[in-house]
Amino acid sequence: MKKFDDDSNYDGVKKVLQNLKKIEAPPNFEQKLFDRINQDESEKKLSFIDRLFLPSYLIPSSVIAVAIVLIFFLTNIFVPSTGENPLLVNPRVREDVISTNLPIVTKKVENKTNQKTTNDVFETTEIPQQNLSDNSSNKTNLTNNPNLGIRITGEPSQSNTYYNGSILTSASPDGSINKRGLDYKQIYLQRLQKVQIEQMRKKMEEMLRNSNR
Amino acid sequence: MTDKNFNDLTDEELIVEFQINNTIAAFEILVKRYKNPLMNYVFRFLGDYEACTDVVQETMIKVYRYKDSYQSIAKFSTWIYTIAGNLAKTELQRQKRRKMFSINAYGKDNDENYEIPDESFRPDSETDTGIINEIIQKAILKISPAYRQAVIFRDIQELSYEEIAEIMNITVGTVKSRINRGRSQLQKLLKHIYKD
Repeated sequence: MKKFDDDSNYDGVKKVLQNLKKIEAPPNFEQKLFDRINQDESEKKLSFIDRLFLPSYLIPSSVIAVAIVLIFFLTNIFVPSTGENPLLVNPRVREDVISTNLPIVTKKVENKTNQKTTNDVFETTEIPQQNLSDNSSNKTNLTNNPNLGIRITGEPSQSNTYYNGSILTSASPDGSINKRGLDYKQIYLQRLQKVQIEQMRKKMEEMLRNSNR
Repeated sequence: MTDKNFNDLTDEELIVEFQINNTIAAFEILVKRYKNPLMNYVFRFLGDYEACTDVVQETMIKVYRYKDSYQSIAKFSTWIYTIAGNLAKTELQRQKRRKMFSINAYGKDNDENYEIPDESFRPDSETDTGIINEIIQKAILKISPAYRQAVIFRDIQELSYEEIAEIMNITVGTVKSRINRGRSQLQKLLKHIYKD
């Protein structure tokens, strides 16, 4: 440590350094300094919320918001929705089984063979589309009524194809309906729903009766 | 209190006055007292007058803004030199990075236009002795920053070992060691000057 305390070895260097010209600040040093301080002060006074609503800050934030909304809509438009309620959607009309240029023909088919299949096949005269259901007890009530324009047929077809009003359906030779290829919707009804349908049916009957008069 | 009275106050009294009463006059006197010593120190450390002015201004702004962080147990000069020293080191690092970048850029494309520094206002090149000053300054810049800082504080700013130790946050022994190593390096670099 004594070696470091001995400055005499470097007297020449010390002298050279001490004789160096003193550097002075530029004449406008203080003016510039206070300008900078005042500038800092004015910037500091603006709070974060104030800055957020300055036009320069508002532009990028609004652009981002608009972009988010656009992306949201674009992704929702082009992605098919899968959450549809099938009960609220009308059945799809199949063009390949519907012939519109054919005349409406009422076909009466006698039931010769099987009593069991009587209620299975029915056709419409005025209603273009047909509702089929395995629930035969309800069907009997609904379809046997001539006022509704619905008749039940049970006879097997020679050509294995029925033309009933406007719908072509396929059936097996024994008279039972082959559901393949049909465009229908099968719904299992609750007791309450059945009662409601029955009420609706009665209302319709009444309406038709009134209209016939 | 008038300006005349403020001039009679010590640095520590002035900064306390500025802290407590936010007296701008007290701060102005501190700026007047320290602008030249700081300019001298930072210029010798960086070797760039423009950068040195910026660093000293930044030091004063930090004093103004963070006046409350000064504690009366320390000397004001120690505090302000510590701030200036840290800012000068940061500027030195920035200059090194800039230099590296410009060298790389020059290597890639020699056709680019470069700004030629204005040498007309250089405080150490106004007279013949300015040439010697320039040589000395170049020699100072050649020694490592740690030794350079210690030598400048001791031989140019004439601070005590204890003050230097406090500013540089090292022991007095380390300060003496660094000063000696710095002087030794300078002696080798400036042999031909002080022999004349």
